Amino acid sequence: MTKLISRDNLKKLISKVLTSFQVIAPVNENNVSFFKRISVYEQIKWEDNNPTKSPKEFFFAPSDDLFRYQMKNKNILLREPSNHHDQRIILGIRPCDMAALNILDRVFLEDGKDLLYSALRDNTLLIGQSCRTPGKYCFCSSVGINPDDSQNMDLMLTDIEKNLFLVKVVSEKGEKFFSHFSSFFQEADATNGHTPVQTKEMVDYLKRGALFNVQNINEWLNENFEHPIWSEIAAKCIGCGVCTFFCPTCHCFDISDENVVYRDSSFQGVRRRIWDSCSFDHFTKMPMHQPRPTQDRRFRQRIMHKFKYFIDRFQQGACVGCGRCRSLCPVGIDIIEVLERIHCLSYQSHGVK
Amino acid sequence: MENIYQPHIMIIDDITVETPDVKTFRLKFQDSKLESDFTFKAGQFGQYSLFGEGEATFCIASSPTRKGYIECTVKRAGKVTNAMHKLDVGDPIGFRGPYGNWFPIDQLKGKDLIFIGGGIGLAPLRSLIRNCLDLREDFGKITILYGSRSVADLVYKQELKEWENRGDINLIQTVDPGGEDSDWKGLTGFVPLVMRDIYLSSDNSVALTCGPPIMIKFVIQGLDSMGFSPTQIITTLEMKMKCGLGKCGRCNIGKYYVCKDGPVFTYAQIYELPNEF
Amino acid sequence: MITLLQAKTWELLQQKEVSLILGYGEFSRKINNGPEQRIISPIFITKPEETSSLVWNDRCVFNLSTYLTGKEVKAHHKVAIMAKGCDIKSICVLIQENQIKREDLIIIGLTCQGVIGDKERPKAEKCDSCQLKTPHIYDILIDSAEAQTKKLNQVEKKVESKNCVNPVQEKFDRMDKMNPQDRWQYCLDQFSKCIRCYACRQVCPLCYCEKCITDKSTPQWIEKSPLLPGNLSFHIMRAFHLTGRCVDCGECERACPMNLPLTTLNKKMAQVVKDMYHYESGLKTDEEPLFGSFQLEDEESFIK
Repeated sequence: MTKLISRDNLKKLISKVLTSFQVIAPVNENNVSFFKRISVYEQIKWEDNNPTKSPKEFFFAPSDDLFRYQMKNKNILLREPSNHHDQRIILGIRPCDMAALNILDRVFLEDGKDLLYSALRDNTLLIGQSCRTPGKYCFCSSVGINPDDSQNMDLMLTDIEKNLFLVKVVSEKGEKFFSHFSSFFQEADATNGHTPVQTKEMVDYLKRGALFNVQNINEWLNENFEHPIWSEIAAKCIGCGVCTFFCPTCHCFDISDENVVYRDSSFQGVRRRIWDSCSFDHFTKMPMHQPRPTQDRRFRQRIMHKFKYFIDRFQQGACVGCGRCRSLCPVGIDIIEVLERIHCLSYQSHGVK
Repeated sequence: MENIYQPHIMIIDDITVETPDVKTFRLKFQDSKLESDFTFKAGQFGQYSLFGEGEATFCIASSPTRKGYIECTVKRAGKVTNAMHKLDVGDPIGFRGPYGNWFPIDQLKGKDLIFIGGGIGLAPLRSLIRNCLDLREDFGKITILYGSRSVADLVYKQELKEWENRGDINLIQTVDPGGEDSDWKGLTGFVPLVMRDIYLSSDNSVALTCGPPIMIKFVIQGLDSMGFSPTQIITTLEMKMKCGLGKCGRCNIGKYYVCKDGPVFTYAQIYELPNEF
Repeated sequence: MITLLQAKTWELLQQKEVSLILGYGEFSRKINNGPEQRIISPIFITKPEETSSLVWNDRCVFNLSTYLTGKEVKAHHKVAIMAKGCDIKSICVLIQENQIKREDLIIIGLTCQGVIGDKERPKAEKCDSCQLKTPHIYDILIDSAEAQTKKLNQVEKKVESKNCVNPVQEKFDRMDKMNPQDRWQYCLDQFSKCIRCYACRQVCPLCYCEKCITDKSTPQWIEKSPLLPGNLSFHIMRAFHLTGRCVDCGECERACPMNLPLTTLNKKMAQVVKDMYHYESGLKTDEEPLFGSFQLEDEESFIK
């Protein structure tokens, strides 16, 4: 089902739903764009591309309370965290960040369901947006995602004129939302087809296609756990967590007891799940043993996890081509350069396929 | 539906001081329903919580045949283990588990078993040894080669004595050179070297080994040269873990998560793994 | 200019005077809205023939001395490093603090008219007050003034017309003038945004601790969660730990993906140190580190 909505009506719609939903949308503060809960429509900063920070923190926060505890006279009392059950709408997520939810879903919903994550997924309506122009560093088309992919969205907005969006009602949830607020939408003209706006850059981007072949990369990784390329590329890696923290699919975490307050013979505290990164030395470090003692091993883990281990386990890759790691790395490590080199090496080792 | 990160409350029932820095804790469920429902298999592990400190991963060192309690053997090393060593009988501890796979005990039936342990690495083997001893007639010859850095570092001393006195176990104990004391009646030498001097037949037998990574490495080499096939060698691997559920992403060796696909691996499987453990 | 750099480094490797050169290389990066982008990035060179990839221009913003304390670099018996005056200041501190030996290092000093900052700043902030356009310590000097100035002038002109003030200096002045309550609130607002990626710490040449206090767990001084309590402790602790040491290379703020005003705290500490002890870090290798020395006349009014 497709409908139309004007920018004015979208504004009215959002202002209306702000009274009954938490609305999360792209904003820009300190020259950094990110998703944030807004209180008025005007806070939204519509940009052509992905915000610097991905929306993953709204499903898997940098720090989540797992449960609280209170110890009194050797008696432990456990309490569930005050959970986020408010209905939420996240507005303006792009197809790549939406595709990233597939990866998080596999991890957190399968084989031992993470209730926190699943509650946040269930109580969120996702109004996504297709891309009219590629971001400077994007490469979604190289990892099998289209800039107008509507997967995981409930509704998808597509620019068709300056102030008019085509609205694709994708899911049942989206349909329910639409029928509740149908007065804000108008019928799409069946004969007119409504061509989405595409910049010249987008046309070129789509024409160029994939920069590398994920299958070839995967096969090469199968055979090249040991290879000089790892230390060559990772030599300049400083071991910070920028690439992993800004990645919409990276999901590794630590568990830690925090906010522990002692009073007389009793104490209370909270156990938290906290973002962690395979780039950090302490990630795998045990008191007597460190299986990944050097940065090249940690760097290899990141590439292997995305383009081999995750595929081995879940039959899908764990990179959505959003390009954030490329643009934010403080020392200019470029995953495209890495993948293109691997792509070339795979041709060298197997001949032209 | 339950919160997968929330532990069950257990009460410390007994504490055994094994060595100056190793203690064994016997834990009982606070909830009697949980206690009667709880089952596990030898080789599995759990996440033990010290509220206010955090969680740590230990294998279950008691036998699944002995119901009503679990035991864990803990070396004092980090934040959680240090705090754990300060606990007394009656104190609560959180437990999540059992997690991971287990020793293939059904496939071991009718076979001669060779256990090769080093230091605190005897703990997971102990679970299986005791399991096998409770079902003694199901298994062939049982050989246990156990070594540690010094006499003081031998764990389960009481049990070692009992095993020694049983007629149906061949127990060989050794300590690293320099670790012996004047009363020491066992052998002196590193486990992989001692192993070469005793006759171990690969015929209808399975070797199970656990200990420091370097010991495991040389033990496997030794077994290999004695004609043990890769599927006849079983070990447990250790990686840093946080969730135990295959989610937190840190215990992988190649595509395997040690917490889900391990900790028990055959050498045939390990051979396929990237060298990063 | 480039050829002299390349010739000198070639010679160093060829004659086995050093086994590694830490330098700047130029790489191309594929982007979607134009031709390939030429970017500068650190490069590790071990073979003489690779020295042709070395460049020196006004986009060489990185302080390469951060790599000097890394395991991989320390494994080399002797290394050469390309360093601007500001970078040499942190090398100085590393020598002062016995992290590296002067004799294990060949400093390829670069005369510099300023480098282009990140995030559309005309010139890196540190360049404004730079006193070390010609480095104070070096073994080989690469003079590049002419080629560099030309390019920077163009950028500056463009920016002047936009009437742009130096954002870091502006932030510093603004914060310095605030009353304590406002300043505290400003800090809370800013540091609540920190996501604890530790890019600031990892990129910092003087954050070389084997194990940072944030990673220590027995006892756990600083909470790991990227929430205000831990964030504040971390950043304040870091500022204290860099007091009398920070050379204001600005790398932390450049690396910060959340655009936090990280150098502000360090600048303030440097100013205090200068006022109280007439000490400026990174100028001499044979000077005692500020916190490693004591004089009877030292100011101690802060002890209460």
